[in-house]
Amino acid sequence: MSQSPNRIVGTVFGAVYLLVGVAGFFVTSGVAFAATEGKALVVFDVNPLHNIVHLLIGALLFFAARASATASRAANTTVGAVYLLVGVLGLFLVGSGANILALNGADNVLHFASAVLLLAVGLGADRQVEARA
Amino acid sequence: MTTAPGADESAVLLWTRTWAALSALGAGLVLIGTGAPDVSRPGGATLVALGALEAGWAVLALRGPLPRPHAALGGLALGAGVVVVGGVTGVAQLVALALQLAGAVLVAGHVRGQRREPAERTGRPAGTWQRLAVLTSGAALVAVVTVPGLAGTDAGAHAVPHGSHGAAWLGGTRHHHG
Repeated sequence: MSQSPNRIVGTVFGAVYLLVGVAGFFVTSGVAFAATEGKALVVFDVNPLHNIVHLLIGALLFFAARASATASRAANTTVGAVYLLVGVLGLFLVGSGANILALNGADNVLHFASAVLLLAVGLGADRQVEARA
Repeated sequence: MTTAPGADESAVLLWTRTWAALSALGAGLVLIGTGAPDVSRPGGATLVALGALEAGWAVLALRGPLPRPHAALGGLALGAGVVVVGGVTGVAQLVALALQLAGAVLVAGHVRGQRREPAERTGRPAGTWQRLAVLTSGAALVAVVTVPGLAGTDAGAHAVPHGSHGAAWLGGTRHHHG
């Protein structure tokens, strides 16, 4: 596993997202399920829906990384691509309630960096696993 | 066993390829965000088309090897020219310009590196941790530059505020009504 960039990134990001998802529920009591004004977890605001998304993404990345390099690569690529795709589509939903990419805030830098890193590792690393098959 | 493309890529070539791709991806997204509100007009449609081309090229470049480097160099230079002609009037334009120029320099560096490292002597292949360091630092740097650029577009200004962040440089405290 230590030689697979996808499994390393998937394990680390999965574990962090799972921890952040669980920790988020300790600060979001009294916050509406999908409220646009959340409560701060360190410097990143979250609401219960956000926590659930973190848990789902964390579980997907973590367990795929534990399974195999191929599964991890697929999970990393999918999560990264979906993040970016949602971001691009969100740009065309200006001013509507469907604008699901919140572009303003420190957490968006983290989300964007996560998406780009996951996509980059998923697309570029562990290709020898695919070539060997 | 078949060797995967790029499996024996040296650290320098890996760096120039992936950072060029990440720069183009960031620039592409900012161009799309800049053109999106006016996509029905020629100016907006041009920016969206350029942005989509740059983002698509970036995805292929992340897979490796760098696709059509000379055409990419021309495309990034053209994109930078379009931004300059349109006017560098805000953070979004400045970020798009900077990322495209950085991408062009990195593509040129990659081409030069490939000439110096012929196929039969590619130098020491990058190790796992080197790959991760290059990708992580590139992703973080491009995110730090791209997000303020996206926030500077009309689309970013209209985005639903996401909590009450105090990062003013990211537009975190701005509430746009328009």
